[in-house]
Amino acid sequence: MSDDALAALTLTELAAAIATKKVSSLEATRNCVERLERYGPVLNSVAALDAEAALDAAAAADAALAAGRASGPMHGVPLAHKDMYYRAGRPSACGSKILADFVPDVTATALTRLDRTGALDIARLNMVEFALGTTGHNEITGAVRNPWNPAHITGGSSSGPAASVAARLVYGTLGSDTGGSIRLPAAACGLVGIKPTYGRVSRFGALPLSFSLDTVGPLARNVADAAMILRAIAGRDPADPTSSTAPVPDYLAGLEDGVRGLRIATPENYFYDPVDAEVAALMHASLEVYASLGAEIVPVEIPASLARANAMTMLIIGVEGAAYHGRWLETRRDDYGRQTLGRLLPGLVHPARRYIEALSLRRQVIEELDAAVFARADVLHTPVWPFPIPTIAESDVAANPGFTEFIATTGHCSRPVNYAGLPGVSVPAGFTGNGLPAAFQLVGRPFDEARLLRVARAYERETGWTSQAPEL
Amino acid sequence: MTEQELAAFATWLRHTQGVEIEPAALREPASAAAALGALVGAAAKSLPFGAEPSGFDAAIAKLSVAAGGQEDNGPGGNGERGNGDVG
Repeated sequence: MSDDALAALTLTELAAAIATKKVSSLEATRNCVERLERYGPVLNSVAALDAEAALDAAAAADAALAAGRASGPMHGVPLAHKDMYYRAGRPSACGSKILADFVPDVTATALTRLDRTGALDIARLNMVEFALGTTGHNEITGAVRNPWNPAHITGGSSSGPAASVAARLVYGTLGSDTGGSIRLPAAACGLVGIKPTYGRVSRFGALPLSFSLDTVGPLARNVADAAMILRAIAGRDPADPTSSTAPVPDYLAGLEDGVRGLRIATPENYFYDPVDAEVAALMHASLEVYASLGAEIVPVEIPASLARANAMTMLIIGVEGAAYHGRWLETRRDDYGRQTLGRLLPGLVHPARRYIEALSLRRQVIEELDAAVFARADVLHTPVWPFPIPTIAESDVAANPGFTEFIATTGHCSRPVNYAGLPGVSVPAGFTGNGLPAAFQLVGRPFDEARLLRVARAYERETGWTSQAPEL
Repeated sequence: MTEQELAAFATWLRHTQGVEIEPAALREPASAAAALGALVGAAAKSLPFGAEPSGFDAAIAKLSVAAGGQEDNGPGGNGERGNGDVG
């Protein structure tokens, strides 16, 4: 198999090829290492790569397989993750200057669970500083570049993960999503991204941003790959008391069941308020595909309470972020990038009363949303980005006046989903006129990730957008 | 905020949180906080008496598909114990 053909395999295809010994883990990993070394600097997507350790791990995986000791369903598959998932003894800089020399003494539960499947963790991937940003800019490590056009942003904060998987440098990745940080970069780079229900995946050993909103999830080349990673990492973890005991289904099992008879809600208000006409047209086209597949499209009115969720989410992130960063805000303020600091400082001055109110309102929002949407439909369909993916230069707002409004607009469709704690999946839906990917978001009831993936897969199977890759 | 108010704010921050910030650097954060706080405050008028943050956990549990028994553990699923204790 040629190097390009090997790189073009999906995660599930490579896992099957390794399991049946058609491809060795060493071949696949060597190819990934070469691509990470060649394209990583171009895209600025790699924080650190230990090529020797990666190749040793792949050789060990091949030896184990030859001895009949395959670890699990991703045995020998090379992955790499956002540089905020701690592995004991390995640095984790979190896109920052402040943690440049931080070496954790614990390993993230999500990484441990991926290790158990036999997956390899071969690199640390760049990210927005402390996961606090929607565009992919980072004043400390530099902006990550979009493989579809390196002049454009990747979205953030899981910028390096999105660029690396889209460029076929690795086969899948973990991101994190507090206000859109998986879905926005997945959408900008033509990937499937899952923000799970709050509590579905353990946050233990992941850099916190906002403990009330943080979620851990995959970015992958297609729906099945994302389902396979989610299946591996989901489930209760005593080390994270907020993790749920809700049963974990087999997310791969019902993927091909289609959407005939399912009801897909399309919002009549809020979500499309700031949306560019070109993006809106792609959204409507995707709904037409669903209708042609037998789904019922149900217009719904979004409750006014959800429209305020974006602001409440930003307040919660500000306060909880400022609490976590307090020690460095006191002593190392000059080591932050301007936008990161500009978003953390308001957290110091929000009244505690407003913070408690913002948290207390979550119940009302989710109950009203359930009554307005999920009592009438199975999933909610919305845009992800309100506008075509901009260039790095034109979206470099740093901490200039008005930057909070820009950030609020970028997260207009994603942030309310975090506030409501619901699962959301970003699904590639073609390209805008500038050649950059576009995507829609599917939102479901708590712990309904399996249905979201099934609905995503039906569209993917019909359109084939996820089989397209950027030319590097 | 006026210069005087910003200076008073900086003093309050130093006393209450131990953070030393020059008053001018507080103008944008204070403005952002005021705008978000006003939105939240307006929304909070609809909060029922006695509402508290833990209501969210109850709502997630009540509205989840798992609570309605709509999901099964498939052959590759991880069961009710999730993926086991690794912490």
